[in-house]
Amino acid sequence: MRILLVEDDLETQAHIVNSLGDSGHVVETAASGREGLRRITEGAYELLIIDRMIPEIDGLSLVKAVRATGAPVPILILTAMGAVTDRVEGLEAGADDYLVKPFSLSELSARVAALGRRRPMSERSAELSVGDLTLNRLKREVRRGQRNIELQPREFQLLELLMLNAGRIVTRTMMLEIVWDLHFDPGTNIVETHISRIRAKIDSEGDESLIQTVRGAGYVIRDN
Amino acid sequence: MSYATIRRLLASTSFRMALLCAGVVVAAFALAALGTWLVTKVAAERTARERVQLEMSLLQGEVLQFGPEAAIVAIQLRARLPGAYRYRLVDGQGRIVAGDLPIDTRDPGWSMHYAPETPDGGVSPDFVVLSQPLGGGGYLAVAEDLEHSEWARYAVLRTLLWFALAALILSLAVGYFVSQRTLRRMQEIFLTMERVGSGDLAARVPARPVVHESDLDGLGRNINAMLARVDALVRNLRRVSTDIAHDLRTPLTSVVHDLEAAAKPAQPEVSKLLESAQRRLEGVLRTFDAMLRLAEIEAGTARSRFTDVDLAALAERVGDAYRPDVESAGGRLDVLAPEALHVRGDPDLLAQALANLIENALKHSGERPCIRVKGLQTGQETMLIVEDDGPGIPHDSHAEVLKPHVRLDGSRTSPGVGLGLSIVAAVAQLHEALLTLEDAKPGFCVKLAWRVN
Repeated sequence: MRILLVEDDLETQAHIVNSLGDSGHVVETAASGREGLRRITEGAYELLIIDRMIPEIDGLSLVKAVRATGAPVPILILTAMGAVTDRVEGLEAGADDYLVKPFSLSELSARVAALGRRRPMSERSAELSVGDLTLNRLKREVRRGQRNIELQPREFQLLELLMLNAGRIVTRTMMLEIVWDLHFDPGTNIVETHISRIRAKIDSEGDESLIQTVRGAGYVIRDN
Repeated sequence: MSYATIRRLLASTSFRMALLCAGVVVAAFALAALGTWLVTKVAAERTARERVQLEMSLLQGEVLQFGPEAAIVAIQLRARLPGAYRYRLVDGQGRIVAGDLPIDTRDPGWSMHYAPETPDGGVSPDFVVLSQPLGGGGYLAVAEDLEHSEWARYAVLRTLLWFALAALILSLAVGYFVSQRTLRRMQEIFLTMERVGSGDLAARVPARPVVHESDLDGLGRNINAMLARVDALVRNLRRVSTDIAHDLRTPLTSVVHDLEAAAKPAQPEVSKLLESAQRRLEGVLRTFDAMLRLAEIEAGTARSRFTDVDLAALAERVGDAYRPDVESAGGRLDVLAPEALHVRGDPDLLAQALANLIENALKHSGERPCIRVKGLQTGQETMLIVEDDGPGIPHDSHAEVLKPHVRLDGSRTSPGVGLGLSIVAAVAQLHEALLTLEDAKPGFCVKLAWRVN
């Protein structure tokens, strides 16, 4: 993916460029809001990563400026920690996702992947499938082969999230935000517990689980 | 004027002072009236005596010079004059030969007769009487009634009482107006202090342009100066702590990223160590996060984004997040919130506060914790309650634990940064909810209560 990173801290910039470069993305950088705006109007990017606090034009105004042009490019906003209202303001300005500093680079990679346009499955399709596991979003049914699987509402939401991002890592934080609407880490085993319950329900004995744990990053569902 | 206004008025120092002054004024007038009454009475009697004495000397002179018959004529002549004395001339046989004084005063010398009865049954005014024997067994009595001076005395007294009444009304009226003014000023100061108490350090006593500053204006000005100073100090303190957290954040984040990058290609033992270092640093960053968050909450900026929050749904959601942990510790977590409970607030901050409370309960209630999260609505209050069955907190430490970084000795062994309850306190204050810590017997109970308007 061709990504523009607007961030004034050079060290953070370097880390992000390296990390996303490793995942095969092409990352260009801008150190100020003005430079960012100039580059956005010149180049075609598939994703914008914008820091909230940047010189000249602040992050929020930049997001608003981009949205004012009607460009559908996904935007990930980076906010300073502790800023209670930043998240809501960022999303209201038109950002698609946000990440609170400090974040781990694997978290960033996962978010970037999730925002990417090349989704394996359309978000609108009613039926999602990975191997012989299917999930019908309208009927709220889950089947593994011929077997009907009963899931609790949260378990269903979690599996749906994983299947929408099949083949890509979904981080703990993303799960907490989307499934539980918790915008801070409660530091509990809630995610692990639900994942193990889902595994127990969807996997057949002896087989390798469809949901794999990616150490230090999150979970991914993929057909083996 | 309503009962409440009167009560408020009576409670004000200035009106009490005015009442006291009015009382003193009335007492002074009463004393003056009494004094005047006594003094004029004595003075009137004395002048009457002097005049009667003079008259007696004149008459006796006439008797000596011209004989008793001349005195009879003289008395008859004098008695007709306006403002005349009263006389009684009795001869040796005891017959009244001149005068109409209705008092029989055989005894010589002075005597006072207060409201003596007249022969026709009426009451005559007070008399001061001088009686002198005459040659041949008769006697002469000269008297003056005190009606005149009494009338004057009553007039003075009445005037004094009218003035006393006027002074009373005037001082009460002045007291009322002055009190209204001071009460308004006091009310302004009171409201300002209340706002400051609830965390709004920007509140100030409204200043008025006045030519001659009153003591209350001075008090308000001094309070404002003090508040400005406190505000500046608090801001400064907040800025210093957030600046530290803020400045250390970027280098620490870089270290975390370095560690993350280094852990990937490293050997398993090394990468394990690197990951552990990374986790510890993330812990440090979380503490900073909590500090910055606390500062932000206390600054109150989130108030502008308040929305309608259902506490019951929030309790379910946050309860769900902690249930697996509580259950894996062998305990149970129940959320009892049967109906929707709406308050105005920031859903994220309220979730964080509730999470901190549950985490706190989980951390401090030992093995097999039993935690209850209750949401309920009484007539006046919407309440969110977190109870546990742990050892609780000693009552005298309740205020302490709400301060940042305070951890009671017993909890030193469990992890945490000591910001949990202080964040709850800050969130409660931001939402104008009353936070109370109680002994649940056994256990600890934290209650957040919103007044229903």
